[in-house]
Amino acid sequence: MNAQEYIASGNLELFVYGTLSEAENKEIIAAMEKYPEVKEEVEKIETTLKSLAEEVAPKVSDNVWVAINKKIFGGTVKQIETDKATNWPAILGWAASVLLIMGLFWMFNQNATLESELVEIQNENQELLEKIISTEESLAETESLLNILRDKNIKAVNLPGHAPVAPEAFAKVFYNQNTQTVHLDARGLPEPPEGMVYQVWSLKMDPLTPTSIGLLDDFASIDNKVFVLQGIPESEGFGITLEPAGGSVTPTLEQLYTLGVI
Amino acid sequence: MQPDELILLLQKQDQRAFSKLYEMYSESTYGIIYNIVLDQDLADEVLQDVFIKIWEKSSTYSTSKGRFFTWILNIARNAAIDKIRSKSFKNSKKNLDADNFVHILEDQTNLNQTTDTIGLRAFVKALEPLCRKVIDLLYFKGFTQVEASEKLDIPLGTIKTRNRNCLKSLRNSMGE
Repeated sequence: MNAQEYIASGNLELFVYGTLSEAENKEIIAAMEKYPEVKEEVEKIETTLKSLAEEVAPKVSDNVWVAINKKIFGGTVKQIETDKATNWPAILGWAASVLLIMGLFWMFNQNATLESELVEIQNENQELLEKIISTEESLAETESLLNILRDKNIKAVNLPGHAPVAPEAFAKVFYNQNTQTVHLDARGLPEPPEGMVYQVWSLKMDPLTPTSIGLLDDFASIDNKVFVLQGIPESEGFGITLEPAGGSVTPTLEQLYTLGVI
Repeated sequence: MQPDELILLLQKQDQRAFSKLYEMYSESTYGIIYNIVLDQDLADEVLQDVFIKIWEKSSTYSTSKGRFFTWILNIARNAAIDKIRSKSFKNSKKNLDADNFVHILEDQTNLNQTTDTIGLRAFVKALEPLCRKVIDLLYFKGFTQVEASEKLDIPLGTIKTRNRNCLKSLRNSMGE
C-alpha cells in the first residue's frame, strides 16, 4: 500500500482507537515511519479524537490531581491525617507485644524457680536415700551380731575393770571355740590416749600364758565398739592392756584395763 | 505531535513530566471515562486510578506499540468498564449501551463553554445518528469492527469506511 491507500483505508482511525490487531498495528507503525503523510494523518485523527473526548464531559475537578498527588507522592494532606488519627491497630499491636514479653518473662522466672526447687528436692531425696541405706546396713549388721550372740556355742565372758588402772572400765567377750572367733564388745573402755592402742590377749591359766589375739587399732572409728577377732587359740580367759601403737610382745601389766576368765 | 520527550521523562519517573502530561491528557481521558460511567464522582475516581496506573506502568509503554494517546485510551476504557461492572455500580442500573456522547452533550449544562467547543458541539449534534453510534462504539467504548457490526446491524465491510467519513466531517467542521 502507498501513503494514500493507507490514509483512505480507514485503518489509521482504528489504529488510534486501539482496536486493531497486533499485526495491523505493526503495519501502521511501519507505514508511519515510511510515509510522513501517514504519520501526519494519524496525528490529525488523534487531535480530533482528543478534542472530541475533551468536549463531551464536564471539566475535571482540581481535586482529582490533588488526590493523585497524594496517592503517588504522599501529599501533605495524607501526613496530617496520619498524625492526627489514633492508630488503634498499631497501639493494640504494641500493647499485645509488651504483654507477651511480660508474660514470657514471668513464665521464665516461674520456670527457673521451679527448676531450683526441683534440684533441692532431688538433693533431699538423695540424702534420705543414703540415710535409708545406712540404716538398713546398720540394721543388717545388728541382726548378724544378734545371730552370732544367739549361737549356742557362744560363751559370754565379762571382763570387769582392773581396779588399780581403770575401775570403771569393762568389756565383754563372746567366744566361739568351734569357729575360733571372738566378738569383743569394748563399749565400756575409754578412748585410748594418742599413740596408744588396746591389745587383746588370750589367757591360759596354769601356768598363766598370755597370747596376743589382736589390736583394737581403729577403736575411735567404730561406732558400736564391737570387734571381731579370729584365729583364737583355746582360751581360758581374756585380758585387755593399753600398749604403745603397734602393740607389744608381752602385755604391760601396769596398763591392764580389764581381765576375765571363762 | 506526540510529546515523546515528556514521555521519556515520565518513564524515568519525573514528577514534572507527569504533571505536564496530566495537563495534556486528563480532560480527554476524563471524557472517555465519563462517557462510559456517566457519573461525575465515579469518573473522578476512575481518572484518579488511571493516572496512578499511567505513573506506575509508564515503563510498559513503547512508541513501537502505538500512540501514547491510544495507550492511555485503553487504560481508561478498561478501568471505566471495570468500574461499571463492579457490584456497587450495578445497583444504579446504568450500562454500557445506555447512552452516547451526543446525549451527554445535550444533557449536561456544565460542559466546557469555549467558542471552539460550541462549534464542535454544534457539529456533533448535526452528525447523522449512525455516525454518532459508530464513533461512540468504536472510539469511546472500544468495540471491535465485528462487535460494532453486530450491534448496529450493518455490514462489517462498511463499518471502517463509515467511521472514517464521519470523523472526516467532524474534522472539517473544526476548521481544518
